[in-house]
Parts: sequence; structure tokens; C-alpha cells
Amino acid sequence: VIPIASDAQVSIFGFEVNSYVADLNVGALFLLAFGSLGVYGIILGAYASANRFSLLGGLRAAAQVVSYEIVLGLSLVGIFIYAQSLSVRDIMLEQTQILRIGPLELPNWFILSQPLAFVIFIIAAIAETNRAPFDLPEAESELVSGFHTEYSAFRFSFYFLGEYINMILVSLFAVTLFLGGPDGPGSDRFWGLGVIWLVVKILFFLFFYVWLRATLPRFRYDQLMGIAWKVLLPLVLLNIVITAFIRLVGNGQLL
Amino acid sequence: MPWNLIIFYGLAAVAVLCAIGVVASNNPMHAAGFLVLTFFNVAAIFVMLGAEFLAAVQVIVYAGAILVLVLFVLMLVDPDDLPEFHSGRPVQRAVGLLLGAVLFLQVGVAIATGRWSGRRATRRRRTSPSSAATRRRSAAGSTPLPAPVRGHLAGAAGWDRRRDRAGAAGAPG
Repeated sequence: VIPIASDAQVSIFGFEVNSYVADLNVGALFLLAFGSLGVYGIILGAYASANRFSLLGGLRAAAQVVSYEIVLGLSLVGIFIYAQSLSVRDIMLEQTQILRIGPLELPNWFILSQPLAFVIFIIAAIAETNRAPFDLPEAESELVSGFHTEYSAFRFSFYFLGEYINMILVSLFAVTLFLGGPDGPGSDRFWGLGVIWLVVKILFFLFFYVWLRATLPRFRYDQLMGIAWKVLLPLVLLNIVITAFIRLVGNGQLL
Repeated sequence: MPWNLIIFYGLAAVAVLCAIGVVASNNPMHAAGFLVLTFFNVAAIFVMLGAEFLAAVQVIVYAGAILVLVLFVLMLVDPDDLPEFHSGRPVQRAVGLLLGAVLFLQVGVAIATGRWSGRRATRRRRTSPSSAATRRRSAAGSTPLPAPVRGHLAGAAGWDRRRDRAGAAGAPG
């Protein structure tokens, strides 16, 4: 669903190949839908281990993911309003255009026109992948290690493989929607450079994850819920209203 | 048999079996698991009908949010405190069976008497000038499935006939 190169068609050894598998017209929603299913592994694993600590971890995971999923989805609405499409490819192509602010020529990445949405998206994405400082489901200091207390060796490794794959996927999503995906210097001349730019941006996000984990302490549970419902949700709704207002004024349909 | 018909029957069979599993399983946790599978198969059928948006929303809302909340509540409740699922309550069981039979009959009548585009198109018994016919025609024109699948899907949903009847009775559909 996510294109890996800035051209629709790339040529590999003389063959013309699409840079994406399928261009769904609801691609972004599709990604959100499947991103929201990862919590089942945590909930069912926690329930199945018949352990109080695991069960508490599963409960926390369920509440946390449901709360932050709303914020995650709503933070993308501003982008959908600007790009006027839910297709990931259209959103990416929109960002390859040039934004002119006076004498300054910048790429039209949505992080520049939607900075608030970007920050909220990153916070919600970290909470969604259960990474520190939002790793309450596996809080070592309170719940031993939460939902995977009873899992060792291969099963534990599968939990962590899933978590890290989820991190990479969320990073890819953030890069494609907010940072222009494979867009970068020279990517319009040679598609391989676009792939390299994409990987570099994803690696930056993965670095950011580890960086945050080492920097910030874990939230308390009431703080976690308070941030999602009392801070992020009003901010993200405000962002939608402002974006829609600017869009209407820009189209001359208002004022 | 075209391949998409085979896929549709596979999805439909799994969806119906999982729906039976939701009702028949003793453990509410298992029932929730079966419900996830049912939602997935229905979403896949939506995709086959070209309604990707509906499928995505179904997965986000039902599988992603509502069922997670159901599991959340189930984890808070001690299973021993739950009432017995399949014993006692004769009145409720009788009413449930009766309503189920009525629904089954309605769907059966809808399938048997519906005017499908395709090989059953000649079997029109009642010509109603309602909007259901035009709706079905427009839906039939835009879907990439062969006619029998479309017919079975509409019949399985049972929406056209029951809409007609509800409209005739003056009730909002």
C-alpha cells in the first residue's frame, strides 16, 4: 500500500515495476485498521497466561490502545483535508511539490503544514506500539513485566519481533504521511536514491524511539489516560477545525 | 465455477460457522474470538463487492474498538460470576428460537422470491415500483462479481425484501 519510490513505475533490470503492491483508494484507513488489531495479541496472550500481573497488563493495553487509536486516526484528518485523498500514493505525490514561502523553496511535506498533527501522531504512535514512556502494559517496576511475564524463549521472542515490526511499520507510516516518503534531493532523477532516503528517515524514527525510551520516565496510569482524553483529543480536534478553516479560506469558499 | 465464487463461498461458510460459534461457545472469551473472525470474513466479502471503505471501517470500529472493549470487560469479570449460558431461562430460549425461525423464514422467502439479475431474473412474482429495484440494479452494475454471487449476497443480507416489507408497513427501514 505504501509506495517505496517517488515514481509510480520504476525500472529494475529493464522491467517496469510498480513501486507499490496495491493503490487502495482507502489505503490510509486500511493501514489504521490493521494497525488497530495488534492489541489482540497482547490481550489474548495476557488472558491466556492466567496470571494476575499479566491480566493487569492486558487490561492496561486494551484501555491504552483504544484511547490512543482515536487520537492517531484523528491526527491524520488534517492531511486528508490537504491531500483530498485517502490513498497513500496520492498523499505522497502531493508532498513532492514545492512549497514557496517568500524566497524560500521548501518541499511540501506535511510536517511543515501540519506540525501539531505530526507531534500528536508521534505521541499516539509511540503509545500505540507500547514503547516507553507509554509501556504501561509491561511496566517492569509494577507488573513484573506485564503481559509477557509467562512467556519465555521463542514465544517471548515472537512478542518482541511483533513489537519491533510494529515500530518499523509505524515509522514508515509517519515518514510517508508527514516527511514526504521517498522524496528528497535527487529522488526525482533516480528512484534508488528515493529508497535510500526512505530508509534513512525510518532509521531516524527508530533512533528516536530508543532515544525517548532512554530519556523519559514512565507515565502514571491516570496521567496516561488524562493526556489522551484531556490534552491530545481537544488539540487534535482543534487542528482539524483550523485546517478545514484554512482550506475553506484558501479555496475562496469562505470570507 | 469461477474463482471468486469459490472464494465467496469459503468466506461465507467461515463467517456463518463463526457466527454459530459465537452463539454456541460456553466461554465468553471464545465467543469474542469467533466474533472477530466473523467480522473479518464479512469485511473480506465487502472487499469482494468493491466496498473497501466499508471493510476498513468495519475492521477499525468493530474489530479494533468494540471487541477490544468487550475483551476489556470480560477480563474484569470473574468467569464464575457469569450466569450459565445454555441452561435455564426457558422463556428466553423459546422467544429466541421463535424470532430466529421468523428471521430464517424471511431470508428464505427473500432468496426464493427475489428478482436477481442473472439466471433467476425471470422469476419475478411481485413487481413493486419501489426504489429497491433501482438500488439493486445500480449495485449490480458496479460490482465486479458474477451475478449469482451478487444474488446470494443480497439474499444473505436479506435487505431488499425486508426493506420492501418494512416500507409497506410504514415502518422506517
